Amino acid sequence: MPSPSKPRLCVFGDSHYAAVKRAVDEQLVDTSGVDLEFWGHAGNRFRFLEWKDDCIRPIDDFTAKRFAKFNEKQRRFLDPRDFDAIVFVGSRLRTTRVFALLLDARLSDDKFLSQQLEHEIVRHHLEGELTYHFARNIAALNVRVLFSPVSFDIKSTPNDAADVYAKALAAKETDRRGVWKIVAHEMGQDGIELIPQRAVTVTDGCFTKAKYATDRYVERNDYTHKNAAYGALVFQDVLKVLKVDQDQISKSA
Amino acid sequence: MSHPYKDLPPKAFWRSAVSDRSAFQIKELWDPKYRIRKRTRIATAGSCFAQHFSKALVARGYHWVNAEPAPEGLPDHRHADYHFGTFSFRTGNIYTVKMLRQWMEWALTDTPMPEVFWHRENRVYDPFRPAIEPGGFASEDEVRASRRITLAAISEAVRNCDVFVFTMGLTEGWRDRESDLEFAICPGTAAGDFDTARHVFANPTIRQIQRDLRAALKLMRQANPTLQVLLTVSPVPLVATASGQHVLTATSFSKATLRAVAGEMAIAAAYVDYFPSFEIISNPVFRGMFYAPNQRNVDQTGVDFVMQSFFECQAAKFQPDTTASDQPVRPRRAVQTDKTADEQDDIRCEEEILNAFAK
Repeated sequence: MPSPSKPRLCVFGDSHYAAVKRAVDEQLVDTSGVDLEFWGHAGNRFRFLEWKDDCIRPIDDFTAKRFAKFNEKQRRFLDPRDFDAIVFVGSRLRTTRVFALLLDARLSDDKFLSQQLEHEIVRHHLEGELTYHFARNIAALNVRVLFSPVSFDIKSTPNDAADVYAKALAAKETDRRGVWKIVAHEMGQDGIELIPQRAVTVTDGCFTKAKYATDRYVERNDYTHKNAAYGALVFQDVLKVLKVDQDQISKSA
Repeated sequence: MSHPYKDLPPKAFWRSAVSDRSAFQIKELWDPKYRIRKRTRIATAGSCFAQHFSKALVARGYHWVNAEPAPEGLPDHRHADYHFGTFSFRTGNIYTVKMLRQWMEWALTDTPMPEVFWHRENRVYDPFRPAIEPGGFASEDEVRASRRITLAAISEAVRNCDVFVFTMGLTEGWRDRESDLEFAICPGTAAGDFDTARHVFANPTIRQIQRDLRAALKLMRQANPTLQVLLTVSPVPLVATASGQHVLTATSFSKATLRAVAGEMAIAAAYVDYFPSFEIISNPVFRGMFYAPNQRNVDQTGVDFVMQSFFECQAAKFQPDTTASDQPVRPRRAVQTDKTADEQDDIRCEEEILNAFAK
C-alpha cells in the first residue's frame, strides 16, 4: 500500500522518460518524498494505446505486456485515479520545430505571426498528438497532470529546423519564455501544468546543450534523447511544481 | 454583294452561337489575348468570386503565386479563416478598384498605410481588411506588423507574376471624408464606429473608376513592365446597397459600370484582357441556373463551368497545355501531421457581414 503521506506519482512516457528513470536509478534525485512508478515504453508502441474507460489502455496483449514489463507493479494499463499526479515525459510531444518556427518568426523582420496565430499553431501542435489527449482526459478526471514535452534536440549538422528557421538560433531566454508562455497557456486551458525545459540546458536558440545528450549520441546518431543529468533536472522541476519538499519529507521519515 | 457580316464566324450570330445551342454548348465566349501556360505565374486578387480562380488554377496544376503562404503549423482547415491561400496575399477581398489602387500605392510606392485602426471589445481591426484576423488583432502594433508583411507580399506578387487576375466586385464603398481613403466595408459593421461627419458613401462613376484602374495598373506595370492583366467582373449581386436604389437595380448599375470599365480597358491596353465570368453566370441565356436559391451565391456547377470555359478558351486558341503541374510545392515539413485536413470550400466574403444588418 502506498504511504498516504506521500503523493503517488506516475511518470508516463516514451523513450524520453528513460532520462528520468536513469536519474532516479542513479540517485541523482531524491524520490523519498513521493511514491513513484514509471509506466511507459519506447514510442513505437504508443500507437497501440487508446483512451478507454478513463484509462490509458494498450489495444493488444503484446503492447500490454510490454508496458507491464517496465512497470514496478506490472500494470497492463494506466488508471490515472490510482495516482495523485501523472507526469508526462516526452510522450511524443516534440518541441524543437515548433519553437524554431515561432522564434524565427518573432526574430525575423520579414515574418510575423500574430499572438492568435501563435496560439493556434501551438494548440494544433498539442492536439496533433494522441498523448496530449490522454493528458487532457486525465486532467478532466481531476487527477493532476504535469507535462514535460520532448526536450529540444541536440544540434546536428545539417539540421532541418536550424536550416529552415535560421533566426531562431539567435533566440534568447526571454524569447523562449514568450513561447513557453503560450504552451503553458494552452495546456492550462486543458488543466495541464507545463514543465518547460530549463534555460540552463538550452543553446543556440532552441537546441539542448550537448552535455545533456545521451551516451555516444554522435556515434548512434541520436540527437534527441538525453542523459540522466537532464532527467534529474526534469524530475526536480516536477517535485518543485508538486511542492514536494524533499528535505522536510526526509526529516519526518 | 459583300458586306462585313458575310464572313463572320458562327459565334458572331446569336442564332448559331446561342439560340441553336444548349446553354452548356455555348463556346468561344472568350478570345484570350495571350496564352496562359501552367508555368505562367498568376497572381489573383479581388472580390469573393476571385477566390474561385486560385482554387481552379491550383487544382489544374497551374502556377498560382502564393506570396503570403500560411505559416507551417497552422492547420489547413484554418487557412481560409485567416485568408491564407485565398488570394495571392492577405488583403482579404478587394471589392473596388479604388481599394486596388490604394493597396498598390501602399505596396509599390512610398505612400505609408494610414494610421487608422478600428477597435471592438479590446481587439484591433484593420479597416482595409477587417476580416483578415478572426476576432481581430491583439494590438495596433500587430496590425502594423501584419500590414508590413502583406505589403511586401503584394510587391513580391506583382513584381514576380506574369499575369495578374483582378475580379472587380463592387462600385459602392465607404470613404473617409477627409483623406478620401476607402474602407473595405462600411465602418461600424464588422468593427469600428460609423461617424456621419467623417464617413461618406461613394458610388463612383465610370470615369472615376477608370482613373483609379489606370493609376493602379500604371503602378503595377512600373513595378513589372511585362505584367499582363486579366480583368473579370464578379457575377455575384450586391448583398446590400446604400445608394437609395433597390438592391437589384443598384446591382445592375454597379455591374454595368464595372463591365464597361473592364471592357474599355481591355480595348485600350494591349496588356489587359477581359474574361467574361460575369456573362457566363448572369446572362439570361443561362437562366440563372448557376445561382443558388437566394439568387445571389454562385453554386459549384457555375464555378466549374466558368473555369472550364476559361481553360477551354485558352486551349481553343492556343495549344492545350499538357505539361506537368508547375504549381510550386512549398516544403511543408509539418510541425505535425494535419489530421483534420478536410477541405473547406467556403468562400470568405466580408460583404456577407452586411446581411447581418438586414431587417
